[in-house]
Amino acid sequence: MSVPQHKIVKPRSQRGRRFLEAREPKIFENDKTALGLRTSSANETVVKILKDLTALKKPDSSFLGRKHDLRPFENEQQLESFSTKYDASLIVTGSHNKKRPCCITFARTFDHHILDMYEFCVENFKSISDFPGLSPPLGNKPFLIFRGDSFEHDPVHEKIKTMLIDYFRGPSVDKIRPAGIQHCITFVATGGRILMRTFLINGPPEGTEPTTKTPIATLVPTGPSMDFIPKRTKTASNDLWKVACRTPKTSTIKKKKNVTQDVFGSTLGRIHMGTQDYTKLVTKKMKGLKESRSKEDGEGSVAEPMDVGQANDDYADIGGDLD
Amino acid sequence: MVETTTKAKHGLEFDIGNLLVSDPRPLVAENNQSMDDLVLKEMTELTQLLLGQVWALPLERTEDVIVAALPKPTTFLPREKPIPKPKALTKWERYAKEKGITKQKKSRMVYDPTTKEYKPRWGYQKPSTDDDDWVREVNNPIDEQEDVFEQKTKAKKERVAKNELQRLRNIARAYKTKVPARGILPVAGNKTPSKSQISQSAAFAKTADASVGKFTETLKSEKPVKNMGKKRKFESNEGDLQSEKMRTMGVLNSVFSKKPKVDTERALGRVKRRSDRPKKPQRSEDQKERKGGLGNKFGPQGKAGKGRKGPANNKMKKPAKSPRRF
Repeated sequence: MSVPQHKIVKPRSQRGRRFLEAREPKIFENDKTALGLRTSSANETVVKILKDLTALKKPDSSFLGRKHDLRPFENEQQLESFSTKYDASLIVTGSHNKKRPCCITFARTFDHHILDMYEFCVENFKSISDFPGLSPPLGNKPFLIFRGDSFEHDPVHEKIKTMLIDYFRGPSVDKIRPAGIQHCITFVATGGRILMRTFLINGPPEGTEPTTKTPIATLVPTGPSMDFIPKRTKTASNDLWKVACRTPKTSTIKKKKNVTQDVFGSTLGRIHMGTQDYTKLVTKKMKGLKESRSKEDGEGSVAEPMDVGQANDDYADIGGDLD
Repeated sequence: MVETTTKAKHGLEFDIGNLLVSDPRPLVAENNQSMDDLVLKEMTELTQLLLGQVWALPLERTEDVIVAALPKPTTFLPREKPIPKPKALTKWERYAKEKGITKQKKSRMVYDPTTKEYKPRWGYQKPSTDDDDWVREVNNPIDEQEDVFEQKTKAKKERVAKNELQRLRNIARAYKTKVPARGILPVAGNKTPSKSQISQSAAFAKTADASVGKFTETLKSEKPVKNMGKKRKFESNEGDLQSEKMRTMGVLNSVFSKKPKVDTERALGRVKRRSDRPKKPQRSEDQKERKGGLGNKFGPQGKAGKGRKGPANNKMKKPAKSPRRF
C-alpha cells in the first residue's frame, strides 16, 4: 500500500488540512459528486445531453466544457485522473462519431479507480430547454421509477440500474417533505432500449392547507428525455464489487442497554450496584460510641454501624449525562 | 385510478429510502398507441403508488412543515471510497498502551514563581523561560568560542528533525512500507548495514567537508577501508633528483643483469594450477578436418560470410505473411 503524499508532506494551512481531510474515506459517506466531461469529438447534441445530465445532479455536479481528448474504454486512466482531481466518483462523458453517434458513457469509480462503465447511444433526445418554464427543481430528491423485466433478469441491465440509481437518486436525506416532491425520473426497458423520461409532479397548489391525505398526482413531461441504446460495457469483477459494496460495522448503530427515556424527555440509566460493605461505612462520630483508650480493659464498646436506610435505588436520574 | 393501483401491485418493489419503485412487468405498446403516451399513463400510476407509500410514512410537524422520516435505503450501492481503517498507533502509543500509560491532562494555568502568579502554560503571557534571556551562561568553558545562542537553536533544530524522522517512520509503519533505517545509510531491503558498509560510509563521511577530507584526522586504531578503490598517484614534476636517479638506475640494472628474472614462487604456483586443471578431451582426426582445412595455421577464423546475427538480420528477410496491423 502506497502512502498518500499528503501524509508525508503536511498541509501548510489549516484550510488545506481540512480540504484533504474532507476527501479522506469516511464511514458515513458524502453524496457522490458527478463530473460532466466534454470530449473533443462531442457535437452540439452531446454537449447538451451532458449539460442536462449534470444539471439534474446539481449541486453535486459540475460540467467541464473544454475539449478533452478522452477515450474511456481505451484509456481508463484519463477518467481516473479526473476523478482524483475533482474528487468525483461519477463521470459522464460523451462523444460523437460515425460508428457510435451521440455516445454517452456513464462511469463510476471506487477509490478513484474505475469500477464500471456503461456506454449508450442516445436517440430521441429532448433537452430541458425544449420545455420552457418546466425546468426540474434544483437539489430536489426525485422519484425514480424502473419498469421492465430486463432490469431484474439481465445482469448488465441490473448493473445499469444501480448506476442510474447512483447517479439520479439525489441527496441522501433522513426526512423529506412529501408535499415538496416535484420531480420524477423514469426508466423503461423495452426492445433493447432504456427510455429515460423526466416528469414534473403536479400536486395540489402551494399554499393550501397541508393535508395528510395522499394527493392525486398528475405528471407533466419535461426534459431531459432520451432513449439509451446500450453499447460497450465494463463491469466490475465480483470481488471488487463486493469490496465496494461492503458496509462498515460501525454504521449499524448498536442499541444501548440500560438507557431509557421517560415521558418528559429526560434520560434514565439503570445502574447495577454490588452489595455494599457496611463494615467500611463511615458514620457520624458520637462520644458514646467511642472506643476506650485501653482496649485490654474490654470495657469500650465497638462502634456499630448505624441504620443506613435504603442504600441503592434501582433508578438514578442522571439527566443528560447519557445520550 | 384505484382499480389500476391494485392491479399494478404485483411484483412491485419499493425502496422508499431512495424514493424508488421497480416494476418488473414489461411495457409493450399496443397498436395505434404511441409509446410516450403509454409511458406517461403507466408512470402516473406508479408515481401515485409511490406517493401513497411516502404519505403513509410516519409524519411529523417541524416548524409548520409536515415531514416524513425516510427509512434506510435497501438497494445496495457501491461506496465511493473504501471503509476507513482504524488509525494505526504510533510507536509511542503502542508502547504506552502496553505499559498502561495514560495521557494526563495538564492544567492550563501554571504557577510562575518569579512573578508569584498563575500564568497560562503556553502561548501569550506564558511564564518567561530562558528563551527570553539576553545573556546566557557558558556551561562548558572549553567550548568558549561556541556561540551559546547558536547552540540552543542548533539543539532545537535537531530535536525538530528527530521528531520529523519519527513521524515519517510512524507513517511508514502504518502503511506497512519500508521503514527508513535509522543511522548513517539507507540499506535496501531494510536490513541492518553490514560492517563493511558502515566502514565505507564512515570513509565517505570523512571526505565530506570543504577540503575533501584533507585535514581530517585519522584515529589511532583506524584501519584502511577495504574495497574503496585506489587513486592514481603521480610523481611531482620538479621532484627529488636523487630518488629519480635511483629509480632509473634500478630499471637499467634489471635490464642488464645476467640473473634470470624468475619469481620462483609465482612460477611454481602457475605450474601447479596448470596441472590441476582438468584436461580437455582430445578431438578425433575427422573432427579436426571437418572444421576449416587450414586449421590454426593462419590464425582464427574470420567473421566474413557469417552475416549479422539476431533480430537485425531478421529484418532483411521478407516475412511470408505480413503481420496484422493494429
